[in-house]
Amino acid sequence: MNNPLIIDTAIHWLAVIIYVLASVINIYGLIFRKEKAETASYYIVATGLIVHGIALVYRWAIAGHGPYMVRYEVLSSNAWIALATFLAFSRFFPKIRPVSIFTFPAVFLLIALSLFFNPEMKKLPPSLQSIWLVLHVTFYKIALGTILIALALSVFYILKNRTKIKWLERIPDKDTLDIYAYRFVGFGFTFWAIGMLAGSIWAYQSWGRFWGWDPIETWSLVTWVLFGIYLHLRRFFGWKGEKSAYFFVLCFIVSVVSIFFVPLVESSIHTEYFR
Amino acid sequence: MKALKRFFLSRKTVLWLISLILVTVVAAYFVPQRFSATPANIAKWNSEHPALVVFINSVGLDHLYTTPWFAFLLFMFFVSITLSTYEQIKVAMKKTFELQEMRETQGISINSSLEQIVLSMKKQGYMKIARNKGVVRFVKHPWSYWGSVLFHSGIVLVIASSLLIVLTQRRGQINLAEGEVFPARSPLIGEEKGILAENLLLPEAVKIEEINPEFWETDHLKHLSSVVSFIDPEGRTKKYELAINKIANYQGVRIYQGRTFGNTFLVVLSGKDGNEFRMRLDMEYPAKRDKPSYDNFEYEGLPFLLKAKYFADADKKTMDSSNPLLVLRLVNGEKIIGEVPLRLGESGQLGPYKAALVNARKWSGIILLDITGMPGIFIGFFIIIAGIGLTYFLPPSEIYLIKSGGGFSLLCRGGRFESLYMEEFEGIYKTLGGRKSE
Repeated sequence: MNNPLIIDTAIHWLAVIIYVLASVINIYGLIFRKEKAETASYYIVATGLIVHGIALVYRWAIAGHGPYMVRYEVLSSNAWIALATFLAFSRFFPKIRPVSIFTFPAVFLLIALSLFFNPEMKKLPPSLQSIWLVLHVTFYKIALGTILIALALSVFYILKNRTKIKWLERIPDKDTLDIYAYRFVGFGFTFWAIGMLAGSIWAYQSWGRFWGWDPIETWSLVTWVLFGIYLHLRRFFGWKGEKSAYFFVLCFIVSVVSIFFVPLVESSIHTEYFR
Repeated sequence: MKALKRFFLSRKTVLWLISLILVTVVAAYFVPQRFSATPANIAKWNSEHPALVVFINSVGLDHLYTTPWFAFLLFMFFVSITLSTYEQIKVAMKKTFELQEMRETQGISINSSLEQIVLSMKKQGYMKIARNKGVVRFVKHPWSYWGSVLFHSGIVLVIASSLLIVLTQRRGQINLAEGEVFPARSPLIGEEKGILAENLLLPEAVKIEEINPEFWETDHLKHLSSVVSFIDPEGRTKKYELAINKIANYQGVRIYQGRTFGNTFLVVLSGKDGNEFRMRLDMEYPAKRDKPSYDNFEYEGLPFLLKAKYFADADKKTMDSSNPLLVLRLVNGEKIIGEVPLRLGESGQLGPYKAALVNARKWSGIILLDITGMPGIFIGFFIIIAGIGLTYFLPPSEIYLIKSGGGFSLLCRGGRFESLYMEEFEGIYKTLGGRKSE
């Protein structure tokens, strides 16, 4: 048990087990209207978040850098920040709590997916040794957390509009889902912009170029502009309800392509160390 | 003029312009761009897509960001958003300071005194913004009316600064070996400059004093730094220490440590006929201690192709290059004429030539950049973020207090996020003893 990779993976698996347990209890609580179970699921998921956090901190300590070098740690930290973002926002906006039925399983699936990638540790190249990189990566992860919530709200809206699934009666009415989805896209738009700004400052500091039309930069901008179009359509063209929910699902797909798939198929300064 | 202004201010125009820019950027993504792709990659792509080449060349999709029509699209967007910003300032001023005409029938009667109401509003975070003709207006987050103005003015600033940079920036690189001097006013490698910019020529000579790469135990690069000197015509020197992420400023020019580095080998080939070739082989640093770096060289007068590979350490035990191993191979077409491994100071037979490795030094790239407008980009981006942050994190809500007979009526409004405030509004009505609306 002296191999740090085994310890790291084992703690991750423990977090997955806790998250699965939390998800099952949460789904049971939401569907069968068991408030105690639903509340308990939040305590369990918070425990999972702590265990998961320990795994990330442990890895950070032994690798000597944050979770932004290999896909394993990137996916795992995405899951952690997505859950932390959801828990933080659900304190301020309790109406989004039913989104847990979507977020909790998404989190453990994301970590489980990360565990299929090679957990090897890579050393940090000099260009990545910058506080701006940490901010750049962190804000993209928070943006991902907020747009995951917006996605869940949009999907709930569509389901509520199209189906008569019984447990959907427990979640807020369609107008509330719609307005919260709108607002969370606004949050995502803000965090995404901060991520781009931090990346731009970092690139200027490292290479003297604040924008290089790198494939990931291009797709990140495309995604941000798409979010902007969504917000513009809602504000000035009166888009709401199902039409905007479907449009956001499209925006979300593009954001996932830009964050997860472009680095796999394209060569860029971003992908140099991620493959 | 009015029609033109209406056109630029039309929401459809803005949406069309954003969509057009988006579509062209996505289209350009699929075509290798001249400024970033290698000539070999461009040629390969062209041979694989012969049907598209004529169209792409005619519209300039292979250099989208320098085409006049893309600049025109950006300019149209810039005009539209500048006019829109001006209009939004007027709207924000009106929303912030003006008081709308209100009828008492619009509100809900409440049974509280003015002092109680003001105190309650304060507790809820509402500020008294205006008062007129028996109407008092309270607003929560009134500065958020300026969110849109900030967002749009930030975009204006970013586009204007980008335009300034595109027109005036100058950049280039010099590759120098340790101890080597780059003469003053010499042309740089891979120079890029804006339409309005002159060539970037350094008024003083540059010398690299030392280059210091450091490696992780995994052989990956950990740190790369160098010491450069600028030498004035009188021979006075000024030293700068550079590293990746550590930039120096020299007379307004930013100097970056380039990421490219390696070894420069001085090799002498001596023929039996007395012919001598003094060759400088600049090679990139090997990626691993047990993996060599490769390159090919052709020299005028040398009838063969010279293939070279080198290991940072001859014993392959370290990434330190104080004892490198250079292997030279002379090739004529497919035929190998000769091969010789050389350590520093060694010589050996390479086909018909005697080869000697006379010297080995490290070389590195130094990037020079003269740019104006970067603060505009970053300040503009900060303003954009402040604007959207205000809009979505702190949406404004308003409460109108309308004098009604001996008492007051209350009217709550939450703009586009009104439903988010419904519970708060209900609470306020309840606290102040109002009757809930039907």
